[in-house]
Amino acid sequence: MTASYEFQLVGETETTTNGASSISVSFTYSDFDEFFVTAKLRNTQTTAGNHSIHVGMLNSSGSIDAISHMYAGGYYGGSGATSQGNVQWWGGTSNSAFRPFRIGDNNSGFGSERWTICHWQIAQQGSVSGIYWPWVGQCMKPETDGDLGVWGAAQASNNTYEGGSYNSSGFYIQGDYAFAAGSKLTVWGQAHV
Amino acid sequence: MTDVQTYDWLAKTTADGSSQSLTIANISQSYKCLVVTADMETNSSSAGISFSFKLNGETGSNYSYIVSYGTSSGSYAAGVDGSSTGVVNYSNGTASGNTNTDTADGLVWAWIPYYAEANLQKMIGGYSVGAGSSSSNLYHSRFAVTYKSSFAPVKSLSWCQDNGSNITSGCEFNIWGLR
Repeated sequence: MTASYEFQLVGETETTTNGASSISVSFTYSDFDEFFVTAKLRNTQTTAGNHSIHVGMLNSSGSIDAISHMYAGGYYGGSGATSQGNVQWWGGTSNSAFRPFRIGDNNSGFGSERWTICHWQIAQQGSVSGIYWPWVGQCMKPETDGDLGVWGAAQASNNTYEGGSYNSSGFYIQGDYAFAAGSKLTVWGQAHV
Repeated sequence: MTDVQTYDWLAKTTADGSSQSLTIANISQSYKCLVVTADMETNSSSAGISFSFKLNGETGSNYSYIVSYGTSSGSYAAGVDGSSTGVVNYSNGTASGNTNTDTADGLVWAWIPYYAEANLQKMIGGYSVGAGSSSSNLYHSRFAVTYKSSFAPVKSLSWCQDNGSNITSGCEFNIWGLR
């Protein structure tokens, strides 16, 4: 039997200034069965600190989804942000968003001139109660000298999307500080037809 | 819905058993993201077999990679900043990490977002899984790789065996493009 499916670019949002601390692509979840998502990110904040990227579901207010709906977790590691090659668990059931990784030392400062690159694959889980949305993938961040500083792979979940109380849907990325111009989020969708 | 041609198979090269690397060159620059798959199999029975990527034929000791990997013996992680190869897997010393038996092979799945953009340090992320000659030799890896001194678009990608053994005849190296 010949497979029949459609795969298409759903949308891409790119920042044109240094002022936006969030990026989103809005679409209707139920139009697709699976998603490929990539992001290219750089922060305008260059000082050391415990900086995070937050990703999650876009809600009807145009922001990231509420705490009560987000179950997030993942492993991250790095040669600069932690001890070399160390992989640590981050997550829990009380996070406001899925954090692909955190950065906490001078060398891997999120605002260095090197861009962070992320990629995830996400399965459409619709509004089935108790079925969560898995995000599988990782972010990669070079230090200022180009060495891989931190990376993260994780599985985020969010319950009963599509048909719930939200009347818009999409994916959302938020930084602790404004993103630099040229940061972007790209979403592809695959539909089984 | 019309066929919008956004996920295209771009190229494949197949090992003939006489080389330690496979290269796909002249990669189209018309896509936003590359997806890569490659088979992992050699005729080596050595411990600690690894495979790697090379970006644009770069061979300097400028690859930085982080790999987390696991076997039936446990889970591990490694990070190297000055390697001549961008390692994506370890068999962690299993005696038959990659042998030329029918049951001893593996697969890597990787992606290179925004590979055609200039002035962007390119990074490869992905997963691999390998099977040795017995179930206890099964291992898996998650990896990130970069060539830290190059910001050039990716026009050539090589799939390499790092331990001096040829890639087994029939192993495939495929690239897809996401437009």
